Amino acid sequence: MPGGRHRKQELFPGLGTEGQAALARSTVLVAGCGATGGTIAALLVRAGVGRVRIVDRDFPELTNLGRQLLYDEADLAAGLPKAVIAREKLGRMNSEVEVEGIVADINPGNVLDLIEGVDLILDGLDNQATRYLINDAAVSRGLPWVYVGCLGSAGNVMTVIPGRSSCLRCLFPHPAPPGTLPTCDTAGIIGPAPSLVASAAAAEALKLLSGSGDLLTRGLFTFDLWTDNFRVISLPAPSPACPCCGERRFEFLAGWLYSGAATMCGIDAVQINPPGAARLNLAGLAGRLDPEALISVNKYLVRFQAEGFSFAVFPDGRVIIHGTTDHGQARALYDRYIGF
Amino acid sequence: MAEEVPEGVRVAELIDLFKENDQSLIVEVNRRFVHPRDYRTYEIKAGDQVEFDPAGFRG
Repeated sequence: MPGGRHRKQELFPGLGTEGQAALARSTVLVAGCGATGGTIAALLVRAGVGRVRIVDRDFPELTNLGRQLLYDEADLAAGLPKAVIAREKLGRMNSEVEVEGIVADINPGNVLDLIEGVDLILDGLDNQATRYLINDAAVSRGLPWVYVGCLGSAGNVMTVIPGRSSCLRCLFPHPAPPGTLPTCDTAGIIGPAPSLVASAAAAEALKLLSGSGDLLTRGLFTFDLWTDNFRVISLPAPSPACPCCGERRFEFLAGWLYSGAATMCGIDAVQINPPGAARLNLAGLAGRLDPEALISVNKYLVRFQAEGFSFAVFPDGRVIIHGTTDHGQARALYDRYIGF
Repeated sequence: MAEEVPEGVRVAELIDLFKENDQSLIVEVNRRFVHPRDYRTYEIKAGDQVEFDPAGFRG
């Protein structure tokens, strides 16, 4: 019964039937569908947001299962990308919601297409560079987005309303150099942290999409579940000197500051993006490889092993190379087995 | 962990003192964000509460 599903949510005075109807008219992009993105997507699909577009570049791994609630052991065996699995599972949660699953790496060449037609972007990302890219894309289009980050037992959430609140580059004008930030491998992470940060972000989305934007958290929500520390840090007004929202220099969107290689969070792996648009013939690649090296082949990816490394190759030319965090070594392996 | 610091010390000096060399550091004074460009000039006054937090860039 369509009217019954959200009855209890509609009883909540902050939403009501009008707020619920507004959610049903809304479209969101969830960028990344791991621990935070998967939970955000599930909460918004269950809440009845009309259209949920999820984009993810990765496939589930054993070390994901401790915190990435959308995936299970059967998904590891299936060998499908997270976006494909998520679309199917989210569709079963609420068939009234249009769920779109896109297997892609978000990069300067596709980000504007990916955010086309959405009312809000939610950050389910696992790396700093793509967040700066999303910040550029959102501000350039005047779209709100919710920054969501976590590590260890701590997390942060900040809603960016272009022109009205600080953007990511107002706070952190330049990303930290590669290799200088703690990662899930060095600092570890516990499942409750991404779940809490995702819930806070989903609540921000419900407020904004239902017409209660005046109730958005005014500042940077930060917490540490291990030390029982929760607070909202007041932020300055948008900075006129901010390269992004002040000076409107969208350097990540232009590709000037965007690297083609990225270390994957929580796994010993590097992703390599080919320069420019690329389409790979996966069947052709599989045919060229030593059959004994092949792990699996399907229409979404080819997985194989060589020189002690494991490769996952996608049709857009992207490759995730497991067994290294060295970008130079990963590029060399890419060149050797895939070729630029 | 709470520690007393001398009045008049600047945020940049505190970062050095406590070896908070995380490149994604959030500095707050009395629950207000301090912009990185102000670290060298922002002076801590009596009664101020300073907190350092790492910004999370994982997910």
